[in-house]
Amino acid sequence: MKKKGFNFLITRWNLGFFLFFAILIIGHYSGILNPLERVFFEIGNPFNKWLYQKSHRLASDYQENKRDFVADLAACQEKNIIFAVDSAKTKELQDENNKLRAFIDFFSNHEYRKIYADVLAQEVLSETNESRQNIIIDKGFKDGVSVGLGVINEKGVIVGKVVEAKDRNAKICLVTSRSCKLAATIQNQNKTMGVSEGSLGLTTKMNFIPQTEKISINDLVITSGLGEIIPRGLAIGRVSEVINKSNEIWQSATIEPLVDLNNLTIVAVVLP
Amino acid sequence: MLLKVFKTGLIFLLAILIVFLQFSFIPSLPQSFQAINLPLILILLSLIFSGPHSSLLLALFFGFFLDSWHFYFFATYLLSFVGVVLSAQLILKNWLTDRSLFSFLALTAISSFSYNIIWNFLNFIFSLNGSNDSRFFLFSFGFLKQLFFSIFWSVLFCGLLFIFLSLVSHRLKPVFLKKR
Repeated sequence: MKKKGFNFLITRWNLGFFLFFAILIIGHYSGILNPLERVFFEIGNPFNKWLYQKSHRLASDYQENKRDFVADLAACQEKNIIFAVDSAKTKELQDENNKLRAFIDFFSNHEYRKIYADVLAQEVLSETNESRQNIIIDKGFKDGVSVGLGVINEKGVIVGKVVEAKDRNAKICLVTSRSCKLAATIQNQNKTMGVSEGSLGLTTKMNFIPQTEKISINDLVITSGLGEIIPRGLAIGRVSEVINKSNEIWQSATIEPLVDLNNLTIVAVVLP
Repeated sequence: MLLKVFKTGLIFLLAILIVFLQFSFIPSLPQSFQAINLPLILILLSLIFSGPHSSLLLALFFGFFLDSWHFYFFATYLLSFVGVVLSAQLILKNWLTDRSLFSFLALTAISSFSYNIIWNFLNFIFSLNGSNDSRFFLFSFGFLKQLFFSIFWSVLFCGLLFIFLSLVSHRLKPVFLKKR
């Protein structure tokens, strides 16, 4: 007899399934499944890193070459495919090499303890229009990463901070994310201090600046080093707009990040 | 017996590949492509071709891995995928009982819709801890855009795969009536 409505749920197989389902969830939260999850993560890391880099390059090329598609199509027909593939591989290696050299240069001039990390994935937040706000790196608690640490790119510009960490990976919120708040200083005459906060996944804002503070476009904004474990002096961005209404107590500044946050493949976590 | 083991192994490898793609590759693509949901597509195909048991097992597999690797509340993906399988099975049993291409596409669209609702609702509930200012997603433009592309890609991929599999498999022969 055909089961109608919800009666199809009540079978021995289904009950066994839901029992196993509950065991999985309890196993995760009790920590019993941690070793297994760690093993899966260790095995998956190299593949995730490789796939993320491939996808990232694809996305960058898609944006740049959309307009030139017709011209490129004609040019590609004449090119040798093997040389094109070799060239792409070499370029990737060169990019990685350049980034690592830039990191070495930066850290030779600045005495920061750091942990290098590869970006494995980015989290897409669909409930708002703000995508590309969080990234996941392949270092976690076991590597010395903890919540609140600042993350920089190869040029020493702060790109975000650690918001969650597991044993072998961590989640970084980018500076343009609403959940990324940094103690900041504007390098103006008064060295105005405040808190920068991401806005719409595109820029950063500093609100509640007293009207008496004089802020100019292109003023550099850096981390102030107050109250957190992020050192002072890491560049956040430049002031691109000052919103100053005479009938309001506060003014606010829009800060444009100095780097393209869509171009992160290797980052460094700055240790206290 | 050997063929069955080989088929199971192949599906297992395919499932692992899809998990890697869904975690690292797809979210880094340009925005409209980020809504592609490969695990959901495979789960729905498995529901039609193999029945609810194998699709529930696939839902468990995908959900467990994605929950372990992501930083959302553990069980967000698990509950979403299992919820979709149960709702799809309910629809198949009670309403879309004819196994035609169009009813399958309708099932895909409804499942994609319910997956997005369940996932976002769970994410919203579990993130209501005051640490970040979560907004209710339902009327946000970003969610609606994501929902549209999710349904679009799911229906497109499922439709194409359904037609391809009907050509190579005998299980769907009665579905496609040939005009004489």
